[in-house]
Amino acid sequence: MGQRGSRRAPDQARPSQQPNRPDMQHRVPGLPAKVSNRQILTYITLVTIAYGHFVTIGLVFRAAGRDAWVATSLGCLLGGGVVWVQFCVWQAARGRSLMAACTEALGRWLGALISAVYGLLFVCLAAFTLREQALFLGLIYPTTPPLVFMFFLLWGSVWVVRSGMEVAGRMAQLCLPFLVLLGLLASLATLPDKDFLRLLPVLDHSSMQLLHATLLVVSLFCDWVVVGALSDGVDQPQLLPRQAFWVSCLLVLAFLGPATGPVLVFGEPLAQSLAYPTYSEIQFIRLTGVVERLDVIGVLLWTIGSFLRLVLYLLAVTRVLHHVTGGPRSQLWAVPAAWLTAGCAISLLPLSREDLHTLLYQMYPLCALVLGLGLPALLWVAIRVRATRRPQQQAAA
Amino acid sequence: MRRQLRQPRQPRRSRPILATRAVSGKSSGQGTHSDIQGKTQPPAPPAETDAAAFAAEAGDGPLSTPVPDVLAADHERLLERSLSDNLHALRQALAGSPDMVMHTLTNGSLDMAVIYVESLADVQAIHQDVLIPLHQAATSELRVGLAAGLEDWARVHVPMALRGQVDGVASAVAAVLRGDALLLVEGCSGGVVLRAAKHKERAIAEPDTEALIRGPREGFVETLATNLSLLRRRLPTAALIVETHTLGGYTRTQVALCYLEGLAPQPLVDEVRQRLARIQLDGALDSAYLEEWLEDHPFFPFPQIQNTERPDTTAAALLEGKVALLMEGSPFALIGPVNLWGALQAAEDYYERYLVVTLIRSIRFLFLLFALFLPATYVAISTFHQEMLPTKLLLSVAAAREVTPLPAVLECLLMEISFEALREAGVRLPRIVGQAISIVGALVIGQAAVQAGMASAPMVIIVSITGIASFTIPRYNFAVAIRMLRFPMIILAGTLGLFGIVLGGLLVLAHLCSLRSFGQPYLQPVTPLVWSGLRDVLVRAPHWLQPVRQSKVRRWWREEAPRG
Repeated sequence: MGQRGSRRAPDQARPSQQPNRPDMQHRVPGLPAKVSNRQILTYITLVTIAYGHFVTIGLVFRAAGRDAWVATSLGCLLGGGVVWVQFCVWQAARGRSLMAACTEALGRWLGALISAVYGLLFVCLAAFTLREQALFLGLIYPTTPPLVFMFFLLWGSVWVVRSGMEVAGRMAQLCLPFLVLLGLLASLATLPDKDFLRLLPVLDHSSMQLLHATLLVVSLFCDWVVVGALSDGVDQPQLLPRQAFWVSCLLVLAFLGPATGPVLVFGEPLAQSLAYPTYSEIQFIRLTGVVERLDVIGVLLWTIGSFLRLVLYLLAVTRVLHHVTGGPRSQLWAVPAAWLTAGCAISLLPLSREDLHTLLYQMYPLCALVLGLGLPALLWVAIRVRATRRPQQQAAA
Repeated sequence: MRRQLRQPRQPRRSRPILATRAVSGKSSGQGTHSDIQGKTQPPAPPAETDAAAFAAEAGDGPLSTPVPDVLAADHERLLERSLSDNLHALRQALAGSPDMVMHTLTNGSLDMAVIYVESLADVQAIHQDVLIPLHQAATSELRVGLAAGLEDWARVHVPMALRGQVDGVASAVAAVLRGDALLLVEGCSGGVVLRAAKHKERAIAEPDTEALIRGPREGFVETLATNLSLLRRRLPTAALIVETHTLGGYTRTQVALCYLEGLAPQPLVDEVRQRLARIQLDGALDSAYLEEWLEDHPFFPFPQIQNTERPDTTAAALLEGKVALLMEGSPFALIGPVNLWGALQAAEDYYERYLVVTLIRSIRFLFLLFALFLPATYVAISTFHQEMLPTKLLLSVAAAREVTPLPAVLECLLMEISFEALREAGVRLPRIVGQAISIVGALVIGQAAVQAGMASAPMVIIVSITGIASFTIPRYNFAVAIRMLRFPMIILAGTLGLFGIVLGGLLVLAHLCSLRSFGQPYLQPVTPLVWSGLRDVLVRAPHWLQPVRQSKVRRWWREEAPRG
C-alpha cells in the first residue's frame, strides 16, 4: 500500500496506522479536549448512586434501621456542603488538579506527600470496589474464583482508562438514564410488597446511631474528592461548586427509595441483617411468566456501576502517577495503576465480606472525612493565604 | 491491478483552492462561459504546471496523486509548433491504444489534426462539429485570429464546447484518454481539448439497497456529471460548492467534494481537502477506496462515513452542514461526518408521518439490541443462569436441548455461521436462485438440523430472530459491524455468562464513545449531549419542530461542543 499520512511531521509515531485523527484533533477549533461539567457530574452521580445503593445503604441500615431515610437525607444535604468545600478548592486552584494545587500551596515535598496519600486513597477505593464486586458476582457464580472477575473487570477498565476521561464521561452519560430508569421500574415493581407502616415510629434510634449513619452517607460524598484529581480536565471548573451542590441535594431523591424499600418489604430487623438489602429487595420481585428471578439482572446492573467507579478511580490514580513522575500522557499509566490496584485487591482477598463491611462501617467514615473534607479545607486555607501574601511580597519586592 | 505501488513523494502543488471552486462550482465572474454545463474557464495556465493546470481547467483541482511512471517521462515535454512532431510524440505515447484515431486534415495550406479514442468519443459529433466545419471553411477565414491564440481561435471556428488548452504531451494524452478530442494546428504550440467524451451510462433508477415506499425514486449512477446534476436539481443554489479532485495515478478518477457554503463548517471542509490530498493510490475504482483513506479510525468495524445511492439523502446531509464526496464510476456518495444514530435512520423517516417513524425507530433500536445480544443472552441463560427462566419455559428449553450433542455456545456459533453463509450465498447468487437458497436454508438447514438433533428448535428461533433483527438496520455497513460483534459476544457469553455480555457491552460502548467521524464524536448528540439534536435521534420530531437554517454540524462545532 502507498504511504499514508505523507504530510505528517516525522516525529509523529506510526503515521500509517491512524492517518487522520491527530490532525483533526489539533486543528479543529471548538473540539472538546476536556469533559464538560455535565459529564463529570453525571459520572460522579452514577458512581455515587451505584455504590451507595450497592454497599452504603446496607451499612446505613445497620446503623439507623428504619431511620435510614432520615440519615440518608441529612447525609445528602451535609454531603452537599462537603462537596461545596471540595469544589471551592478546585475553583480557588483555578482549574488545576488536586495534585498541582497541593504542590503549589504546600510546597514541593509536602505537596508530593499529600498527592501520594491521595493516590493511595484512590488505589484503595478502586481495590475495595473491585473486591466488593468480585464478591458480589460470586452470588450468581458460586463456583468461579473471584480472581477471574477481578482480572476481566481490571482489563476492561484499563482499556477505558487508556481511552481517556472523555470516553469514560460519555459512557456514564449513556448509562445513567438507563440505570435510573431500571431502578425506578424496580421500585415500582416492589410496591405491592411494601408496607409503609413499617417506617413508624420515626427517629426511633439514638442520635449517635443517626449520626453514624449520616456520616456513612457523608463519606460517600467525601469520595467526590476524586474529581479534584481530574478537575484540570473539566471544562468550566468555576461553575462546579454550585452545580455539584444542587446535584448532591437532588441525590436525596435517588436515595429515598433504597433507604426505605428494604425496611418496607422485609421489616427493620431483617433489613439490618442483610448484607445487600437493596439486592434482596430486587431478588423477590415476581414477574411471573417473563423472568423468574431478577437478582441476576440486579447484580449485572451493579456491575456497570462498579465498573465505572473502578474506571474513575483508576483514572485518578493515573493522574496522580503522571503528576508525580511526569510524562507525555497520563493514560500511559493505566497499566501500572491497574497493577497497583490488582495488588491491593488481591491483598484484600483473605478478607470476607463481613470484614470488608466492618472496615467500611467503622473506620472508613473518619478517613473519608479527613481526606475528603479536612485536607481540602486545609488546602483551601493554604491557597487563600498564598493568594493574599503574594501581592504583599510583590509590593515589598 | 489492485496492487498499490509506493509512489515517490511529490512536492505539494501550490494550487489555490478558490480557483477550482470558481471553475466547478460557483460562478465567479471571471472568464467567459463556454461550457455547455455552465462552468467558467480560468485564464490560460502557465506552462510549468502543465498537468496540474490542465486538471484545473477541466475542473479537476490539484493532482492529489503522483503522475504514474508511464506519463512521468513526458511530464515536462511540451507540445511543439510542428504538427508532425506533435503527432509523433502522441503516437509514441499512445502506442498501446489501437482504438486511437489521428485524423489529419488540410485546408489550403493549413494543416490540422484531431486526435481522439474511437471507443470513448462521440465520433459523429466530432465529424459534424469539428471536421466538417474546419474542412469547409475558407482558408483565409481560418487563418484569422490564429496568431492571437489557439483557444480563442477554436472558440470561433469550432462549434463544439471546449475544455481548454493544453501545452504538454502528458496533459494531451490524459485528455484523449478521458474521451475528449484534441485539436492540433500546424504552427501553434499547444492543443485545444474539445469536449467530445461520450460514455454509455446506466439509466437513473431506484437504488436496490435503499428502497422505500414513499419518496423519490432516483438513485445515483456511475457518471459523475449525472450525479452532480441530480444533486444540483435538489439544491439549485450558488451556495452549493463542488470542488473536483483527481485521484488515482493510473485511473485519474474525478472526485467531487460537495458542500453548502455557510452551512458546512470551514474546518471540516479544510480537513476533508487535506485528507483527500493525502490519498496516494494507483487506482480509485469505487468510492469505497476513498472511504478507508478518509476514516478517522480505519481499523475499527463501525463505519465512520455514510454511503448512499440516494441524491435526496445526500442533499439532506448537505443541508445539515455535512460534506459529500461523489466519484466518477461509483453510484455511492460518501457523506461525513456521521454518527451512530444516523445509521438507524432511513431516508423514508423524513417522508412518513413522524409518529409512525418514531415508533419504527424505537423498533429499530430494540432490534439492534436483539441483533447484538440475543444469541449471546440465550447462550448465557441456557448455560449459566437457568434459574432466570420461568419453570415452564425452562422445561421446554431443557427438553429441546436434551437431544442436542453440542454445548449451547458451539451450537449457536455453528448456526450463526451457517446463517451468515446462507445470507452471503443469497446475495451473490442470481436473484431467483438466491430465493431458492433461502428456502433451502430455512427448510433444510433449520428443519432438518432440528430433526437430526444437530440443533435445538429454540436455537433456530433465536438465530432467525437475530437474522431478521440485523436486517432492520437501514445502513448495510453498520449492520455488518453489528453482525461481526455478535460472534465475540457469543463467545463471551459462553465463557462468562451474563457477566461476559455486560463486560462485552461495556467495551463496545467504550469503543463507540471513543470513535469520531471527521473529529465529531460518534455518539453525538446523545453524548456529548446536544439537546436540540435529540429531536432527531430516538424520536423524529415534526419538521416544523426541527431546527431551521443553521446546520446541525455547524451548531455543534461552533456552540455546543464546549458544553458537551
